[in-house]
Amino acid sequence: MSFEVLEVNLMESILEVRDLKKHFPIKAGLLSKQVAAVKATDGVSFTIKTGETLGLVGESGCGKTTTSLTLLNLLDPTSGEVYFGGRNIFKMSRKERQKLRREMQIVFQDPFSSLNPRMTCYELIEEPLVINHHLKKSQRKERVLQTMKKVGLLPEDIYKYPHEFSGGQRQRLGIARALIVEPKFLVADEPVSSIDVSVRAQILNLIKDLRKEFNLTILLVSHDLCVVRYICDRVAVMYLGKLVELATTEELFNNPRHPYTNALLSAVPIPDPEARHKRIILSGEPPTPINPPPGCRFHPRCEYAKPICAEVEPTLTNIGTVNEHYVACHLERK
Amino acid sequence: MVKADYVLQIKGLKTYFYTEIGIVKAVDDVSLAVRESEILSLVGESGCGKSQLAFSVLRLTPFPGRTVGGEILFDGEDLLKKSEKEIRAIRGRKIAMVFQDPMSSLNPVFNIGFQVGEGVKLHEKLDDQRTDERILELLKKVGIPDPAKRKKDYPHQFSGGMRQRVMISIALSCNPQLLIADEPTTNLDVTVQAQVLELMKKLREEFKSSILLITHDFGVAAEFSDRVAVMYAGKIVESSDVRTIFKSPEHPYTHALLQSIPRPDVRTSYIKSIPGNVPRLINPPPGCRFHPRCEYAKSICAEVEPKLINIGTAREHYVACHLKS
Amino acid sequence: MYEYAFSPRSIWRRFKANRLALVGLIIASVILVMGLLGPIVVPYNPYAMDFGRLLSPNSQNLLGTDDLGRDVFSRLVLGARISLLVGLGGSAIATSIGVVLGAFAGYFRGWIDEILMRITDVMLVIPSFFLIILIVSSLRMRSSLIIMGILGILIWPRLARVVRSEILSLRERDFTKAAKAIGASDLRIIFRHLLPNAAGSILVTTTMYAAVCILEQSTLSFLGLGDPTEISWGSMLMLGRNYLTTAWWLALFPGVMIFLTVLAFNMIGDGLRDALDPRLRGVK
Repeated sequence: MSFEVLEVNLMESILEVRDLKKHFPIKAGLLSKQVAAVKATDGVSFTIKTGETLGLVGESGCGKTTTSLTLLNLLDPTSGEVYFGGRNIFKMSRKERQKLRREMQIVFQDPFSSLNPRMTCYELIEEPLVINHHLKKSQRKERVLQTMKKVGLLPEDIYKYPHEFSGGQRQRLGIARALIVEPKFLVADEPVSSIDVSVRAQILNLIKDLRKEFNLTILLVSHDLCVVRYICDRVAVMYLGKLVELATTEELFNNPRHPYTNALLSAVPIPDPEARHKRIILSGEPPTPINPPPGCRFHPRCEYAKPICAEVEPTLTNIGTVNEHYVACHLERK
Repeated sequence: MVKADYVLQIKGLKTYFYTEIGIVKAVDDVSLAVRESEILSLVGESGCGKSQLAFSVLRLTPFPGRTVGGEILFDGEDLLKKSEKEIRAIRGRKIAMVFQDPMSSLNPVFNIGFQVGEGVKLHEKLDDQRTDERILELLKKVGIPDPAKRKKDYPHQFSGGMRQRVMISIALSCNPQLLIADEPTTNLDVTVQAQVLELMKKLREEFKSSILLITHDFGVAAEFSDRVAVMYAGKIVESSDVRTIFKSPEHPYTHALLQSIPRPDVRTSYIKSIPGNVPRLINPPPGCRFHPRCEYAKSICAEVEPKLINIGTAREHYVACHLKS
Repeated sequence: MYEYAFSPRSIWRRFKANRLALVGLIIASVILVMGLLGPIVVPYNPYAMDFGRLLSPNSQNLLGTDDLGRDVFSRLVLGARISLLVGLGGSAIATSIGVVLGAFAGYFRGWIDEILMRITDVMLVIPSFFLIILIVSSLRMRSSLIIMGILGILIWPRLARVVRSEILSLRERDFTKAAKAIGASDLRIIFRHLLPNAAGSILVTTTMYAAVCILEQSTLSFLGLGDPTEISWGSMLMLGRNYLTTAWWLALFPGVMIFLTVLAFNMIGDGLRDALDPRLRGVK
């Protein structure tokens, strides 16, 4: 599969994903033979520049979570490469991958289920230090308390259990756990979706502050476009396992070029009764990733579809003039 | 003030849960009214009691909850005083409900056609042929393609958005006066949500039912409703028409909340967060429940609960705040 | 919204509140004391045939004497030792084997899982009762330690199954992914993260095992297959069988002790299960 190489200086980009695929096999029959596969992530390529926050958006089934888990090597890829700091992480030895865990961390969506209910706050935040053992117990305690302070947790909370915290505090705990090893790269998977609305702003602002303090590069996976607009520098839109558009945040929101992005943006309800916007109502529902449509995967629901869209898969091409603006759509080709 | 054009009037409703660890005042002295053919959004965060309010209307409060006070006037009669039999006749027929998670509210072992037809059979006692026609009609109305074939399918064969449409068709099958929709699109993708909300709007035009929409999404409330009531920790803190709520909110909570939500249509460089956490209903703060987090709180706010009073001149605008009374 | 409270204090609090569990704990504690302090506490030498034969319970011999003139009460106290040894020891062995094998099978899946399933399938089908009798009766040396070992080795499959299914579901939970993400090794994940969350089921089965082992041991000695040199409730029962109508105290008291001990462990097990995985009925 050909793709236009995203020409970025390796030192400028901390993470490079090349044609990443993750398929989940569906087995059937007596001998559990593979009959089909859920092509959750089906050929995704992008780069994340050092220090930037890239948003990965899409609806359920688009493969954004699978992509983020695979690029952290929490899932084994079906094919493709991921380069972190210039090195292919899938070709690393076990030891090297262990070291990698210190550099790449993740904050999960549901703070309740991602925290072991049987561990205290202290044990949860301390654990990454214990595993990457290079500190003495007293030094670890100091680090834990320090990190807790940075995320806004009180020192008297160290012996509490997850259920004794509120949702927002639990998410702070998860963030502390991820940041205590001072990683360079953080994946934030729907960081505020499970949190009360009145507390979301706290966590979003916390992420903003911490990314400055820790010099983080962040991949923010979210279905909530409002959050993405607030936090991200660039945004990548996924549909059915593929990237359909990638541009800077303002460019994407003000000037979306892919029909799906357009529909997606128009569907987001605006908290302003006087805001008039044209709603593009898509027909039908997204097909399952088991048998994606041929050609452009969005063509069955696209109002601009031409015959070529049903035959040839469009490649992600840069159509931007001043800034990069990648779109995978036949309409954009002149 | 009992206006003739109110479909539902809730006055001083109290629904408490008697648990092993204490009394949870989920709905604490709530008054609300829904007019004919209007869409009223009840907005609040999770745990504020809005779903329990909905359940109370239909007397579906789960154990260990009980409605212990207030009135729910529907069609001039107090629903709380009706017998179980009388309420059953109203459920599904005069007041219908759409739930948040269609997968768990649809019975997995019966096909869709059966479930859509159940209400019809129960309330209107139509014969099989007429019931079948009605089922097909309803499925078509909610946009299920190929209804004749799909009515034999089971819930798990439908996508989330489709299932929600089925739920809506069940709710509307008997032409109810009031539709209570409890977070009907929260679990759906945003494009599917747009479809479902459009559908509900269209059906409201056609069936002329009133809708009590419960949601935590201000965007949905803004685009969809005529009036909005804001709920916090078991109490209504503000209610008015949708324009007033969004353009000139008076309650500090409403105001702070609207400021803290990032918008999709404009670039926000900084959103102001609300300090603190949502209180647990088992031990709410004394006085005004929002006072620990309110930047304008005075000493009276920690002692006396503010009453919901109308401060509007041309239009109704109810606010429960000491600063505004 | 359910609340889970896992601090040791709250677990103990809930356990205490359950009256049956508390009673079970008290009984088990008394028996434990009996076993530990036995030789010090007994009024008379349990082996000494100092008294008149077949005396009914009186002020001197609280529970009477047996056909060889030995004090029943002293023998009863000492009998606790064997029961507890085999009960707790057998349970410990079975738990260790069952937990480790079950956890590995559930976590790693693949061939480890397949083999374990087949083994447990076979072992669970064979009635353990007869198997134990068969094995023990063919032994030349019948010490309680050996019996304890055999019991442990025969009964672990049930726990392995339980642990396996718990691990299967726990490994899909988000906190497992989180542990992986911070770099935890598989062993660490299994023992530090997954098993503590399965503690409820494990502890319940462990206490059940203790009850089962005590019962099995008593049965074996009742059938004459126990350690002949040791005093046990089962052997006392065996002797008492012949005197059911004439000297009822010989059979009643050991029987009651067996019953109470087994009951106590069962009640503790139930109480632990409820205390460890409570569903406090509350609304957020």
